[in-house]
Amino acid sequence: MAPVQTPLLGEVEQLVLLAALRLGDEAYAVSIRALILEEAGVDLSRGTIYVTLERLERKGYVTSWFGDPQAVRGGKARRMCRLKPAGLAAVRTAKRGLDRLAAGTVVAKTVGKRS
Amino acid sequence: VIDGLLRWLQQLVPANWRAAIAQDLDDEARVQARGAIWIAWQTIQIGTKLRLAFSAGALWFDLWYAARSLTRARWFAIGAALTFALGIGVNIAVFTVIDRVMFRPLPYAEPDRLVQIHSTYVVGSPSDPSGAVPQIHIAFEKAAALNARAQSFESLVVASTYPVKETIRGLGDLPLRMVTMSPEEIALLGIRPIAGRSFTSSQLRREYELLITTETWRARFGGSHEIFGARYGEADAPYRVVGVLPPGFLPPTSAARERIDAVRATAADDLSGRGGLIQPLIARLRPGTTLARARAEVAAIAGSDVQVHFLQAGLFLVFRSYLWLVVVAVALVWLVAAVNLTILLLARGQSRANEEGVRLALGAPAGRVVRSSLFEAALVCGTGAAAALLVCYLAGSAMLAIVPGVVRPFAVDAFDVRLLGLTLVATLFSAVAAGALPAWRRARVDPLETLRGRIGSTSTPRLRGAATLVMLQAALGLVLTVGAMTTLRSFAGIVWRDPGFLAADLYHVTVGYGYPDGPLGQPPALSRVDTVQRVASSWPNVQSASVATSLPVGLGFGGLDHFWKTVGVQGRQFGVGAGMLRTLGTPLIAGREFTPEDIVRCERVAVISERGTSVLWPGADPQSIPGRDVTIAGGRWTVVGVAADIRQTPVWSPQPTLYLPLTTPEARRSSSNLYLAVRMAPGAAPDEALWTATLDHAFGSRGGASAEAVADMSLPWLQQPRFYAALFGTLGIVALLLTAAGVYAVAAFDVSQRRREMGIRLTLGATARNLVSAVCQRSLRPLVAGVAAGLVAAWWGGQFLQSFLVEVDVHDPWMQVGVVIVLTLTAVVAAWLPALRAGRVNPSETLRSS
Repeated sequence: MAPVQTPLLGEVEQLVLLAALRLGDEAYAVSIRALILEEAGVDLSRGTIYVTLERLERKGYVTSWFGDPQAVRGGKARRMCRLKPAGLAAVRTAKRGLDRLAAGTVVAKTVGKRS
Repeated sequence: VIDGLLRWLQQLVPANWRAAIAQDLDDEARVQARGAIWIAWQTIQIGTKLRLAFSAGALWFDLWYAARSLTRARWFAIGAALTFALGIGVNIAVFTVIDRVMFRPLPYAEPDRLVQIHSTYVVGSPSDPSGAVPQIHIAFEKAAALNARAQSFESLVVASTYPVKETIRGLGDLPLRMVTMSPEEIALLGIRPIAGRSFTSSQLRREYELLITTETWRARFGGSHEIFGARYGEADAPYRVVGVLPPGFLPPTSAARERIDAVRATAADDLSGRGGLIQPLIARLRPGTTLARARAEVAAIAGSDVQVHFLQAGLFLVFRSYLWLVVVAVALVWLVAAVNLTILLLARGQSRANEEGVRLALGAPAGRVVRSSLFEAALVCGTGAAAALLVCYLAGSAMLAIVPGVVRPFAVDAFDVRLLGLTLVATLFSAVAAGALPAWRRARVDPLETLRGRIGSTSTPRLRGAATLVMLQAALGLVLTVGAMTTLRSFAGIVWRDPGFLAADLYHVTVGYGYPDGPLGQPPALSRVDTVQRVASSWPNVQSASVATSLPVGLGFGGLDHFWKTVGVQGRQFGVGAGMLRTLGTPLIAGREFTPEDIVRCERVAVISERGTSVLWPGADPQSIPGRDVTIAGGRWTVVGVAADIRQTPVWSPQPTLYLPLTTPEARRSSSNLYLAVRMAPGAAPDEALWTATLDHAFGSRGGASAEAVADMSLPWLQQPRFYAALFGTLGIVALLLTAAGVYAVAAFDVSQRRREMGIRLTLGATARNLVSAVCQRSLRPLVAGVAAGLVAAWWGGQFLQSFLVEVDVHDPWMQVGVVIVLTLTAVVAAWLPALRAGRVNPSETLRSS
C-alpha cells in the first residue's frame, strides 16, 4: 500500500468527520456532538467539537458556511459544515488503514459481532 | 444585566465562532431547559479551549517579546526584580519558619479534631503584661473531673511530651534527641509506625521502647530492619527500638527546640491519686462536636479558667500573638513591594508609549498589548521570586540559627512543595495585581496621538496614577517602618537593657551540699554556710563569692514571695550571704549590705530594692530609707540598705525585691540547696574539678559544685527578643528601601521624559540647580501627603501594637518624628540622584535631537 500522504487524523477528528458525513446538510456542532454520543457512546465536550471543526477546516477537510437565521426572536445563523473531497479521502484512508490492521484479530471479530 | 454579562463573556470566544456558538448554546439551552448561568459557564469553557488551542503560537511570541524587551531594559528589569525579591523574600523566609506552626495541619490523624485543654498561670509582673510569662498547666482535680465526665471527647490524655537527650550504647556515637510520649498519646494522635510496631504499655517499667523517625532511621541506620528487637544501652536502663515513625513526624510540643531523632515511651499520668498542677490535656473531639460545644462543656465541668484550643493553637499559645504580628508585618512588606512594582511598571509603560502606539497602529489587538505587558510583570516577579527562593534556601541554616528554638524544629526549607506553591501563587498574584493597571494603560495608548507626538508635540507625558501610588507606598512604608522600629526598640531594649548586675565573669554555682535540718542560725547549718563561703573565697581567680539559698540572677523562678504577698503585690525575697550585692555588681543606692556579722548573728536586718521601697514608702527619698522598720512574718526588721533593681530574667520587668540574711528562718526555702554567686577575675574560667575537690575535702564526702555562666543562662530568654528585633529591623529597612525605590523610579522617569523641556529651560536661562530642585519637588510632593496619611494610620494602628511591646510607648512622638526624618531623607536621596541628571542635560544636544 502506498504511504499515506495526508496528515494523520486524530481519533476525535475521525469521529467528527464521520458524523458530519452521516448528517449531510444537517451537520453543525450540536448535531455532530449528539450523533457521536448516540452512535459511538463518546461524550465529547462542546469545546472539543468546536476546536476540532476549526482544525479540520484549517486542514482543508471541511468547509463551513452560515445557514439561514433561526426562526426565533433574535435568532442567529448556525454555522453548518460539510466534508470537502480531501476530508472524504482522509476518512477513507484512515478507515482502510484501520480495517487492514485489524483484519484477522480479535478486535475485528468483536467489532463484527457488535455490529 | 445578564445579557450584558453574556455578551461580555462572548468576547472570550474567537470572533469567527462567536455568533455561531452563541446560537448553538441558545438552542441547547432551550432544548435542555438550561439557564443563563449554564450558557455563561459553557461560553467560558468553549472560549478558553478555542483560545488555548489556536493561540499558543501567539502566546509564546508574546512571552518572547516580553523577555526580549526586558533584556533590553536591563537595569529596569534588575531593579524591579530585586525590589520584588526583597518583598517576597522576606515573606518566604518568614513562612519557612512559621507556616507549620501557624497554618499547616499538624501531621496527625484528623488534626482538626485534636484539642488542648489547659489553664494559664501568669508568672511575672501583672502591671506589665508583656513582662509576664504565661505557664500552661491544668489543675489535677479539674483534669480528673473532665476525664470522668466530659462527653465531647472521644479520648483524653495528659500530655507527656518533654525533651530528653542521651547517647545510647549500640545506637551510634551521637546523642539521640528524643521526646517522651505515652502509648495513649501516640494512639490518640493516630500515629502509625511505618515499620515495626507501636509502644506497648506492658513494657513501660522494664525497658525504654523507642520509635525512631524515618529521617534518622534512614540517615543513621541505613533503613535497616536489623535494629529492631535487640536491646541497647546499659543493663539497668535498656532501650529497644520497636518501630519507625512516619516521615515528617513532629512531636506535639513546643519544647523540643531542635529536630528529634526518636520518641521514647513513658507512662501516662493516670489521673488518679495525685494533686497539684499537671501538664495540659490533649483530647480528640467526637466526630461532629464543635469546639464551641466542647468549650461550653469544659467550662461547665471545670470552670471558666480552663481553656480549650485546637492543638496547634494550644501548642504555640504563648507565641501565637507575636507570630500574628510577624505575619501582618510581612504581608505589609509584600503590599509595599507590589505597589512599588506597579510604580516601576507604570513608569516603564509610559516610557514605551511610542512603541505601543506603533504596535497598535499596525493593528495589534489591545489584548495582545495587555498580555505582553502582563508577561513582563510576570517575568520580573518570577525572576525576583526565583532569586529570593535561592537566597532563602542558601541562607536557610544561617537563618535557623537565629530563630527561636520554639519554632526551629518546625521550619521547612525554601524548596518545600507547599511553600513553592504558595510562592508561585503569591508571585502570579503580585504580577497580575501590579501589572494590571500599567497593562491597561499601555493598551489605551492612542496610536494617533503618539505618532503625532513624535513629530512635534511639546506636551510632556505625565505619569498618571503614579503620584497616588507613591503616596500609598509612602503611607504604607511609614506605618511599617514606625511599627517595625517601635517593635525593634522594644525587643532590642530587652536584649541590651541593664539587668541591674554585671553578667560578665559572673557564675551561678549550685553547691552539692545543702544545709542540714534544724535552726539555721546555729551549728551545724551555720557552719556549713560559713564553710562554703570560706572555701569559695579561697578558689583561685575568684574576686568575690557569696552564698545564698537562692540567687536573684540566672533562673527565672528563684526566691520566695511570702513577704510581698502580705503587702499585696508580686515580688520576690531572697536569703543571701554577706557581700552578695558586691559580687553581683549591683549598685547600692543607700545604706549598706549584709556583713559577715549579720549572717552569723542572724540579725533581723533587710535590704530592699528600689522598686520595693517605692511600693512600701511611695515617694520617699531612698537615702531616708535605711533605719526604717518593716514587718516581716510578724516580726520587726530594720532596713539597712537600698539596692538597685535586678531583672531576674531579661524579659521580666524588675520586681520588688527583699533580701534577708540567709541564716534567718524567714529566708529558708523548702529545697535545701545552697547556691553561690562567684565573680571571677576578667577572662578567668571556673575550675569545676578543683572547686568540687576542695568542697569535698572540706566536708569529707561527695557533693561538689557545678557552675554556669550567668550570661549563658539568660541566652534562652533572649532568643526570642533577639529574633524579633532582627526580624523587625530587617522589615523596617526593607520598607525604607522599597519606598525609596518607588520615589527613585518616579524621579528618574520625570527626568527622562522632560529632557526636551529641560533643554529649553536651560537655554532660556534656568540654572542646573533650578532644574534639580524642580525634579525633587515634583517627585517628593506625593511623599509628603503619604507621610501625613501614614502618620495618622500609624497612630491609629499603634493601639494594636502596644500590647506586644515592653517598656516602649507606641505613640512616642520622638520615634515617629525620627522615622519621618529618616524616611524623608532616604526619599530625598532617591529623588536627588536621578535629578542630578537633569542638571547635566546638554541643551544644544537635546534640542538638536528633536
